[in-house]
Amino acid sequence: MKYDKEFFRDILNAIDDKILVKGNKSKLLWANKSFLDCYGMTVEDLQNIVDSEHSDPDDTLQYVKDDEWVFQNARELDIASEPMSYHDGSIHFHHTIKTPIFDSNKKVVMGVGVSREIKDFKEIKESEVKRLERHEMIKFQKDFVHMLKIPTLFLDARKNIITASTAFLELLNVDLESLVKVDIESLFIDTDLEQLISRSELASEDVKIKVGNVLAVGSLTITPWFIDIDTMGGSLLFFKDRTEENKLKQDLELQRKEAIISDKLKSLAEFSAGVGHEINNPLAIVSGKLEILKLIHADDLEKLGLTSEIDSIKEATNRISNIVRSLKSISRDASLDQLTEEKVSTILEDVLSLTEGRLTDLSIELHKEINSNFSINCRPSELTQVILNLINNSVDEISLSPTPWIKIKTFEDDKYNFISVIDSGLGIPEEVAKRIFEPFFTTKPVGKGTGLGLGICIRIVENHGGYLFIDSTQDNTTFTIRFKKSAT
Amino acid sequence: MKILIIEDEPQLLNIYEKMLSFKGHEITTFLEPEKAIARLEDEFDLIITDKKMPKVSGLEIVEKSQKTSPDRPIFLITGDSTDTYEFCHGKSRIMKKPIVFDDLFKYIDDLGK
Repeated sequence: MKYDKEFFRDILNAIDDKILVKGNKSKLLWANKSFLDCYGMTVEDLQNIVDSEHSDPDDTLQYVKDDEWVFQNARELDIASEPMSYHDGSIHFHHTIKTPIFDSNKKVVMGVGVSREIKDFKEIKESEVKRLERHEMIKFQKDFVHMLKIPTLFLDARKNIITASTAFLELLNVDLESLVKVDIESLFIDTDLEQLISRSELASEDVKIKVGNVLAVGSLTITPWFIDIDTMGGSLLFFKDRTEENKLKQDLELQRKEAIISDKLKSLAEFSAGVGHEINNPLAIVSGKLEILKLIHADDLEKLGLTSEIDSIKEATNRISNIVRSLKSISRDASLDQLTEEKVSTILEDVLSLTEGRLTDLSIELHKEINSNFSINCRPSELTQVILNLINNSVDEISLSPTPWIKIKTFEDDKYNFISVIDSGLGIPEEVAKRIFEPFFTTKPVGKGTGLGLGICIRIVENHGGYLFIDSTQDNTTFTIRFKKSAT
Repeated sequence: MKILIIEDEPQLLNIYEKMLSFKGHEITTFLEPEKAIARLEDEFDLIITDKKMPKVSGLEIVEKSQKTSPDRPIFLITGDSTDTYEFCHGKSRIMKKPIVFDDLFKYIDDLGK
């Protein structure tokens, strides 16, 4: 007879007791046939796992603790009764003896567990019986939850996902196997699940659940479930999907806010047009009288040395008339205007006549770098509004910094014309940049910004066939509008 | 050139009159547009009118003048910066208020060409 490996293996496989060999940190190394059959596994399946996924996490924790004890104390451990969950879901109790195996240096290298099933329930501790009952109950609940038509999560007391309803899996396009491995906290976005669970039986609106790329928005109702009258087993989370509804609501909200703004703009427009008209006549008189002086009395002015004084008054009236014109064009809804060819310098002049005063007041230096005076086929007042908005954003951001400046720059390459609004800020953090064009997104204090400015800007620019973006390759905060050159 | 000027603001009317007389034009002025209507059939070479006026607007002047003398140019002075009008055919023009007299003189010179 040959006493080789196979010989001993055959003997171990013939034994009805379950034999499991583990290495350090409970890593599974080998098991005999009787053990493998309970778990529906092959020896290969054992590789690299710590313990069976069929087991209750509490049980697994206990196995690992026991293994550790054997390694640390280098002594045999006699466990009077120990539960094992077989792969068919049934739970069985065993009397297990864990024995350390030493290497030549007397160091523990393996632990061998030999388990014999306890068939007589009287031998099992009362607490274990309770556990058995509990296990059966959870199993029943698990099947029950799985069949629910409502997206539902079934959690144990530690917030591990025990199961989810098919409706939940379908909603988030995930399979149960992947879902149970996920940390529940990571599923919920911007939601303090811990708090919700501790308050229980509470419906929470606008909860976002995300698995991979699938996002669902809805309300969540949480209710605890009990093992017996005073032992909480965990929580049931019922989810009502409102993703579509929510999107609709958000669209409506956006429209409503835009409508308010457009209403405000409308009354501002009427007001400005009124003021503009009232100012225009006296302005025309002042300006006209100056023209008379210049034209008819040029010689007298020259004699008195007043020519340059008159010129500066004339210059000032021109500025007033520019402001009035810009104010009138900025405040009206131009979205129905015809597109016209306009020099970019004219648009920028309009913008600057409205902002220069404010910039000076706030000691913000203004640089103009007009490298290219291209024409844009545009609705000038809309474009003015966009650039004004970019400048105002810059002013809000940098006005309190030590040496604030804003630069307006135009330039071109082979394909495109560009207008950049650059400020002394040091760029926009990536997480803000990602969301900056979203409606309602604002970093300004409550009441300061609507969060709609850039959203409207980007829409206007896109309606003009242009593209508005943050140029993050620049050291300073740079918003750039790009227009494709016409094919001519 | 014989020019009819209609403007309800006396000071402005005075300015237009002075400037254009100085340039050697023969000027007729009206503060009240309704009175000017009766004179539209006269042989003016050019009509300069404000747009927004009481009782009769500049647009009505334009309309009536085009009926009687379709080819006669009209300069409409408007305070509304976004006004653009279909009527601007031929040598007629829209001028933004306050008007730039250098432009006005140039446009009038252009008419003689």
